[in-house]
Amino acid sequence: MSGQTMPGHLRLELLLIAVLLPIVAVFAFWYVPLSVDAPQGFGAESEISPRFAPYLLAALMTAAMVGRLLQLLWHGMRGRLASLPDDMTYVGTPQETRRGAFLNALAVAYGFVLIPLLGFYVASFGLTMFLVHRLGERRLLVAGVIALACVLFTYLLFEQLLNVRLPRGELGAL
Amino acid sequence: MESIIAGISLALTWESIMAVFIGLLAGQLLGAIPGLTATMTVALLIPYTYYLDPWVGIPMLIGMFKGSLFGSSVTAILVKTPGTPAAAATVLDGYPMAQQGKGEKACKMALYSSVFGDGFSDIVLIFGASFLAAIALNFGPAEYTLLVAFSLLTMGFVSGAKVWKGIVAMLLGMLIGIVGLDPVTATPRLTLGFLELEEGVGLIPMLIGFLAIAEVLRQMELPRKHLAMSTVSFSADPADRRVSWPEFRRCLPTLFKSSSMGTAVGALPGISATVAAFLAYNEARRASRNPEKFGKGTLEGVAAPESANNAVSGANLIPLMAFGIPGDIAAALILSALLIQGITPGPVVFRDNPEPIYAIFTALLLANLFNLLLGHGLIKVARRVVAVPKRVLFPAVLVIAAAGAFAMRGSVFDIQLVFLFGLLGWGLTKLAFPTVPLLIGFILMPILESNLRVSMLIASSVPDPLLYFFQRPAFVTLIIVMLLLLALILRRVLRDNSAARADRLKEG
Repeated sequence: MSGQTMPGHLRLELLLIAVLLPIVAVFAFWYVPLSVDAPQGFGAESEISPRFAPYLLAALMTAAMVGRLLQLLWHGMRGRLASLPDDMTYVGTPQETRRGAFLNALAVAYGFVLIPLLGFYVASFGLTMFLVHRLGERRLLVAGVIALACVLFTYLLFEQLLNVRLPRGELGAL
Repeated sequence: MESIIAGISLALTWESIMAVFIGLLAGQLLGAIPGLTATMTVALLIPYTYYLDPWVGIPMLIGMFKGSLFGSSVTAILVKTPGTPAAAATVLDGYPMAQQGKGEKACKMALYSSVFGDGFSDIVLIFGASFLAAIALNFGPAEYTLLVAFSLLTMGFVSGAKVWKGIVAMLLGMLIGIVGLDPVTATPRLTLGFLELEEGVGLIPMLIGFLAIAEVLRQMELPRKHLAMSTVSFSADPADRRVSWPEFRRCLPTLFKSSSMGTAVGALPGISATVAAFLAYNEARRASRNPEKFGKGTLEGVAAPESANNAVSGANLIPLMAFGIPGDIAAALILSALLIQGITPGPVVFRDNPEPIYAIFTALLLANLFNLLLGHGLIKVARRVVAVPKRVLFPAVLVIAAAGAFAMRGSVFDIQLVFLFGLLGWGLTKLAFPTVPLLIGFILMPILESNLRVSMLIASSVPDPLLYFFQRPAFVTLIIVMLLLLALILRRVLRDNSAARADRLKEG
C-alpha cells in the first residue's frame, strides 16, 4: 500500500470520513443523551426509548464509514486503489463552487433576513432583479421589469386566487 | 343495473362534465407550481365547491386531484422542480431525458403512464373495492415495518457508484425524518429548541430545497453563456417528441407492475403516493435488464413512478368507498365533501344508495379521459414557458418555490428550511452524495419508526412475542415474498459478478 500513490478523490473521501466520524460520535455520545429525554415509564431503559432511532442511525452510519475504510485498506493491500471509480469528476470547477457558495449565502440571506425584514414582495423584487442582472442581463430596466412581473405573478396567484397572505415583514408592520 | 345506469346518468350531465373539465384544468395548472400539492390545491379550492350542486362540486374535486398530479410531473421533467412530492421520483429520469432534448417525449410518457395508472386503479376500485379493502385491513404495524424496512434495505445498495455514500445519505435522510415529537412518548427529538420543528420537518420544504433549490443554485453557478440559454432544448427529431407504440409496448410490463404496486400502496391507509412512486421506480430499476440506464433518461424510469403515483389516487378511495375510512388526506377531503353533500360512504351505501358511488366512478373515468386530452395542451404551454432563458427562469423559480413553501403552513420558518435544505443539497452534490436515498429515507423513516415501535410494544405485551408476528398470515406471506425477492436479487448479483469476472479473464 505504501508503494502506490493514493488518487485525489480517495484522499478527499478519507478526509470526509475523518470529518464525519467525529461528528457522528459527538451526535451519539453528547447531543442525543443531552437533548432527548427518555421519560420513565415509557420504556426509557428498553429498546423502544425515544433515543433508540438516533442511536441506531448513528451506529449504522459509523458502520458504513468503517466498512468503507476497511474496503479501501483491502484494495490498498492488493494494490488496486488506482482502479477504484472516481465519482468526483462532475462536481464543478473551484471557481464555480465559489460562485455557488455565494449564491447559496444570498439565498439563505433572502430567507432569513430579507423576507422577515422587508416582507416577501420587496425582498423577492430585490433578489430577482439582482440575480437576473448578475446572471447576465446587462440592462437594469429589463431586469427590473422581469422582477416586477415575477412578483406580480406571485401576488395574483397566491393572494388573489388562493387567498394565501404572503409575509409582510417588519417593514409591512410599520 | 338500474343503480349503475342512474349513477352514470347523474355524472354525465353537461354541468358535471364541465366541472370535471374545469377542475382538471385548474389542477393541472396549479399542480405545476412548486409546493402546491394535490391535497393543498383541493384544500384551497374546496370552499368554492360548497356553493355548488353536489354533482358539480364532487366531479370538480376529482378532476383537480387527477390534474394536479400530472401538472406536477411536467415541471418535474422540464425544470427538475416537482410541483408535488409525488412527482419527485419522476425527476430522476424525466429531467435527464429533457436535457437530451427529449422533454416532450418524457412528458408524453408521463401523461400516458398517469392515465394508465389512474385507469388501472379506477377499474380495480370499481370491481374490487370491498375485497381489496378487506385485505388492506389485515395489514398491521408489523407488516408495515417489514415492507418499509425491506424497501430501505434494497434502496441503500442500488443508489450510486459508492455504496457507503448512498447508505450514509439514506441514514441522514432518516435522521432528518425523526426530527420532531417522538411517536410513542411525544418527547421532542433533535428539534434544536425550535417549536416549529416539533411537528417534524415538512416534506414540502425538504423536497423543494433538495430538488429545486439545490439544482437551481448548482446551475446558476455555471458560466453566464450557459445561463443565456433555456433550461432545456427540444429536439426537432419527431422520434424524440412522441412515444411510439413499440416504446409504449416495451414499457407495458413496467406500467402494469407499477400500477399494481401503486394500487396496493393506495389501498393501505397512511402510505402516500410519494412512497409508491419511489417504490415503483426502485422495483423497475431492480427488475430491468439495463439497470445502469436508470437515472440517465430512460422511458421506464418515467413510466414507473408516474403510473404508481397516479394509481394511488384511485386506490386511496378503496377503503373510503368500502368502509368509509379515508386512505390519506386527499381521500379525507373527498370524504368531507361527500359528507357535506349528505353522502356517507361505507358498506351500507353500496346496498342502500349506490347511485352516488357509481356517479363517482363515472367521474373518475371521465377525468382520466380529459386528463389525456388536456395533458397535451399543458405540455405545449410548458414548452413555451421553459423556453425562457435560465437567467430569467431560475430567479423566478426561487421566488415561487419560497411562496409555495410558505403557503403550506403559513410559516416563514418553512421558507428558511427550503433554503437551508437547498444549501445542504448543493453541498451533498458537490461531495458526490446521491440525494435520492436521502429523500427516500426521510419519507419512509416516520412510517418505519412508528410502526416498528408500536409492533414492539404489542409484541412485548404478549407472552410469546415471536408468536405474535408469526401468527399473522399477512406477515408470514410478506416474509415469504421478500425472501423470494432477495433470492432473485442475490442470483442477479452473482450472475453479474461472474459475467464481469469472465470479461476480465477474456481481456486478460
